[in-house]
Amino acid sequence: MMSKSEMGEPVSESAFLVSVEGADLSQWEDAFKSALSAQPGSHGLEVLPVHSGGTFGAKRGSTVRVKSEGGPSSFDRTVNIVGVVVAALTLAIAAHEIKPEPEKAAKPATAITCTIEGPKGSRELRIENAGVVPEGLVRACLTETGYPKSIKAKPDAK
Amino acid sequence: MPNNADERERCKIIAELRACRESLLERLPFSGDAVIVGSSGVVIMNESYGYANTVISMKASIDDRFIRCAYGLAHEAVHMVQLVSTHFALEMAFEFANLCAVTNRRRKASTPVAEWLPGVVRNYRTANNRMEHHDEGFSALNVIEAQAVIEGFRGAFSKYSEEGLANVIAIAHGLESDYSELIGRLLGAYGFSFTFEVVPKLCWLALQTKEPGVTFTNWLMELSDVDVSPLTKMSACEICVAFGTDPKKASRSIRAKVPDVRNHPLHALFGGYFNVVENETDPEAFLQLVMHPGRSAAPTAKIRMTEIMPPLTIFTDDRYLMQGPFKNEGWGGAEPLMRSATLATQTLDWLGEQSDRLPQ
Repeated sequence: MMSKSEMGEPVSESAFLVSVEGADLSQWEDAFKSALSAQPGSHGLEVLPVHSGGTFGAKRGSTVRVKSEGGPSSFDRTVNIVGVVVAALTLAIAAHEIKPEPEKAAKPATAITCTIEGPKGSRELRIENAGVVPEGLVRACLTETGYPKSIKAKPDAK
Repeated sequence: MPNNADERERCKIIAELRACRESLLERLPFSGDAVIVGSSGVVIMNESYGYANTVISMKASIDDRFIRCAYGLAHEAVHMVQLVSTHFALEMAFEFANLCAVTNRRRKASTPVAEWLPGVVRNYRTANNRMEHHDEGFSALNVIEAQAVIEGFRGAFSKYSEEGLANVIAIAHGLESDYSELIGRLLGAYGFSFTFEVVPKLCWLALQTKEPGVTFTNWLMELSDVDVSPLTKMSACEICVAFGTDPKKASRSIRAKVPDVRNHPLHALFGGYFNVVENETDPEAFLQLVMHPGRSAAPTAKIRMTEIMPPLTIFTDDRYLMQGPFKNEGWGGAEPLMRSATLATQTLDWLGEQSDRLPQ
């Protein structure tokens, strides 16, 4: 069903894709789910698998779909959801010491750069401290991108 | 001169195809990611054709983007060879195509889901299980990907070393990926020469069996206590004999061995590929091509890898590449492939969601 967010653009569903670069799903999915459910404000968020759809190939990351109950009823709610998801993602990555690049392989990741893509464009959001996501940054990102289609996380080294 | 109605129809088709492309690309979040749709051979590449062209013509500077692009194209080409030369990959392509056909027929006819969905979901789960299931060893999907990773590396680059392979995997797949772990296990247990020269042959042979993961795992277990270095010097035919397969039989096309293949709707797509591979009558040349698609063909070989490249590759910049038996076709050939790839992935995604929802 099509609805319209307060940002003006129509959205068909209140769900977006969350991907982590360079990591297989088994490395972060459970940690992400646990971190997400422990976050205040995560009520009604559901993590669903993205199926391969009979495809196979060369990928360098893994993806889940985060779905929220009902449509994106307000900008504040979207800011909250994205903040909660990014915080959980940062915690999951830090907890699992994902090593993003060969030359930095020995160092665990404690920060991530998130690329948020929406109908109006994309924006990068860098989270330095695991789990702490400044609301103002998320708000500024979403004002530029619109309701997100995807959030891609790239783990940074320490 | 096209009239307004023609122009409107053309614009409508272009818009529909753009939506198809977006829907296919949505599953590839990172630049350089590529997948092949098993039931159509269509490759989707998260890269622009403009850049890919500079990579193919060696005009781009060599960096991570270059490596991902060159490797991604070569990796998917290996999957195409698997689709038209191995029983397991072709059977799975047929199975997924059948699942799509029955699902779309039922949904179009508005047949109540309770009457048909549980059975289709059961078959969908069985198909996925055949691909992904493994106990302690390798899954069929692992076997498919192991050959594609090694031969993708061979096909994209010209200097080969263990470090080079590990670096390309880290750049293209990530250090924590399934691919990295899979090849790491093989390198750790058997070394680079065996992994690079023998594993692709074993993968291809295992993919001729009903349970490629089990077959491949058993073979590796048998080799765990023996000196594997003699195997690295064997020809493709000798490897067949060493692993209990007649090279003459193994080098016949699947269509020649299983004539019923002609009766499946996908034969309309794959038939041109069988026509090509059936031109190669020398067992060693045939086996070298299908076991090592990344290797340049011998001067005496009757067929070249370019003749069995994926039919259609879709890029991010509204451009596409037609290759193999489809190389001389224009939009007329590309459009149905693009639509069929989109329909297949959307239908299988939908079945996946139904499978999550229904009780096991």
